[in-house]
Amino acid sequence: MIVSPPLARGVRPAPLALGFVALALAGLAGIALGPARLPVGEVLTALVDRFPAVTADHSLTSRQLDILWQLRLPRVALGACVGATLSVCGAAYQGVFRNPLVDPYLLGVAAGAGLGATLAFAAGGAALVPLAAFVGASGAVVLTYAIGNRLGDRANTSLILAGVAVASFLTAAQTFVQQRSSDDLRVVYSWILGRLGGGWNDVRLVLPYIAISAIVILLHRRLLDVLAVGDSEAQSLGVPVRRVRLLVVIAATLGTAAAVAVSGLIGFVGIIVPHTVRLLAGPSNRSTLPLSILFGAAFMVAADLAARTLLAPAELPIGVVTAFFGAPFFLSLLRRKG
Amino acid sequence: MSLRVEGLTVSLDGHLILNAVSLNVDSGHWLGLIGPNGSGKSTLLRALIGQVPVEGSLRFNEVDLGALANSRERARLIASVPQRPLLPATMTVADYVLLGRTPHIPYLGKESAADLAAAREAMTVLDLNEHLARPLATLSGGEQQRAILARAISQQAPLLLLDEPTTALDIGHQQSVLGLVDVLRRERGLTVVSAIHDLTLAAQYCDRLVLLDRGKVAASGKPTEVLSVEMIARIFGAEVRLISENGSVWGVVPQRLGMSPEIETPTPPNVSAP
Repeated sequence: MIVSPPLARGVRPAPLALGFVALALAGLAGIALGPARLPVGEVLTALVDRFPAVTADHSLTSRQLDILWQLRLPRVALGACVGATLSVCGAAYQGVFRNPLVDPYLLGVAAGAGLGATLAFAAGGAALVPLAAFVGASGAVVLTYAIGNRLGDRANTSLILAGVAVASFLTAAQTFVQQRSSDDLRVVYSWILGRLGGGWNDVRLVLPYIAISAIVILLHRRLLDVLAVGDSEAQSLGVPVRRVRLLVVIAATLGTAAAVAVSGLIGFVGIIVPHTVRLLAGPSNRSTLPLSILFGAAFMVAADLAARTLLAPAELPIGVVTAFFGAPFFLSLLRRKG
Repeated sequence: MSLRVEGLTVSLDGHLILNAVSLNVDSGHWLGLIGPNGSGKSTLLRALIGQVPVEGSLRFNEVDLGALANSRERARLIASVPQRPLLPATMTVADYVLLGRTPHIPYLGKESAADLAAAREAMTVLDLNEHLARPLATLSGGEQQRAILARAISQQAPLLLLDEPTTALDIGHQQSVLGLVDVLRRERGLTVVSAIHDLTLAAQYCDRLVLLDRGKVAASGKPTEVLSVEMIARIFGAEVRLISENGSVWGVVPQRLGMSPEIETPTPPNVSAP
C-alpha cells in the first residue's frame, strides 16, 4: 500500500476558516456594539455601499455614519493591526529563540518604548510619544543585540541575558525620569496599560511597518521550523542561522515597536495567541505564523470591545483586559507543560 | 571519489584538540573513529561540517570543503547526525524527516515534489510509515534513532557522519541501526564516518579504523591492524581480550581487573605504529 504521508502542509483549511470567522465576528461586534448601538444589517449595507460602483440603500443617520467611519471602524482596524502584529511577532520570537515563554517584549522593546514615551511626556511633547516609543523600542533591541553578540557565540542564551540586562537598565532610567516629573506619572501609567483610540491616523502610521514586518516573518516560516532542531544542526542542514535570526528579530522588533508606538504596552497577547494557535493547529511555524495574524487580530478586537463595554461608560485599559484573561490562560498552559 | 583529510589541526580556546590529523576514506567505505574520551573524535566530525575553525586541507570528491561558498553546498555533500540531536518534542516524524531536504530548497523557497518523494522514500526505507504523524517525543529510543537516520538519508548526501550512533540503544537496536547503515552504505555507495566507543561494534561494522589519542592518529588501518591488546592497553589503559576468527576481530572484551584470562588471547596481528 502506498501511504501518502502528511508532508509539507501549510495552514490546514479548518483552523484557517475558524480564524476568518472569529475575526469577522469580532469585527462586526466591535463595529456594532458600544454606547450607541448600530444595527448590524445596516452597517453591512453601509459598508457595501462604500465599494466603488456599488450602491446599497441603508437607513443609518449621518450621526450613525460618523460613529461608524470615524470611531468604530478605525478602532477595530487599529485593534486588528496591533493584535495581529503582537501575535505574529511573539510567535516569531518564540520560534527564533526556541523558547515558548518568550514574548515580543523580550529583547528590551517594552522597557525601551516605556523610557522613550516617558521622556516625551516629561518634555511635554505628547505628540512625540509614538516616535519616541518607536525609537526607544528599536534602540533597546539594537543595544541588546550589540551586547549579546559580544558575549559569545552561544547567541541564543547570551541574547536573552543581554535583553534582561538592557530591560532592567532602561526601566531604572524610566523610573528615575518619572520620579523627577511626578505630574506625568498618570499619563505614562495609562500609556503603559495600552489604548487604541488613535483613529485612522494611527492606522496609517503603523501600517507600512507592520506590513513589512509580517511579510519578512512569514517568508521565514519554513526556516524557523528548521531552527527547531538547534543552531548547530540547522547550520549542518545548510541554514545560515545567524542571518535568519538577525532578519527575523529585526522584522519582529520593527513590527512590535510600531504597534507599541500607537497602542502602548499591551501584555500577554504575544504569548496567548501563538500558543492557542499551536494547540489548535500543531506546532509548525508554517501554520502558527499565518494563523497568529488572524487570531491575534480577532482576540485584540474582542478584548478592546470588552474594555469599552464591560464597565461602560467607563473604559478599562485594554492591557488590563488582555492580562486578566491572559494570565489564567498562561498559568493553565504552564500546568500542561509541567 | 573519497574523503581526504590532510594535516587537520583544530584549536579551541587555546587548547590543541586535533594535531595534524591525516586520513583517507575511499568512497563506499565505513571509517570508524575510535579513541578515549577527549581524543578528538567528535571535533573531527564537527570540523568536517565546518563548525570549528580548522587548519589543513579537507577534500571530499575533489571538492575543497573549506572553499565552499556556503553551508548549503556543504550540506548537500555531507549529512551529519550528532551524538545527542535536539528533537523538537511536538514535531511530527514526517515534518522532522522532511527537514533533511533543507539543503536542496532555496532560501525562501518551499519543498518540491522531488523533496517530498525523497522524504517519503527515506521514511519507507527506515520503516517509519506507521509513525508519520506521531510527535517525536512519543517515540521509543529505537524509533527516534530511525527517524534521525531517515532525516540524514533524505538529505541524499554522499558522505554520512555519525557521532556515537548507538550509545543510547540496547543491544538489539544497536545491531539494527548499524545494520541499516551498513545496508544503506552498500546499496547507495555512501561513505560513512562514525565516531564509535564500542570497539566490538567498530571491529564488526567498520572496514577501516582510525585510533585517535590526544588529538593525534595513534594507529589506522583495518580493524585487525588497529585493534591489539597492547594498543588498547596503551591508549585506553584497559585490559581486554580479543576474539578473533578467520583473521578478523569479532570482539573486544574487557577483563575484570585482577582476573587471569580463561581463554587464550590470540596473538595480535601486525600493529601499524603511529
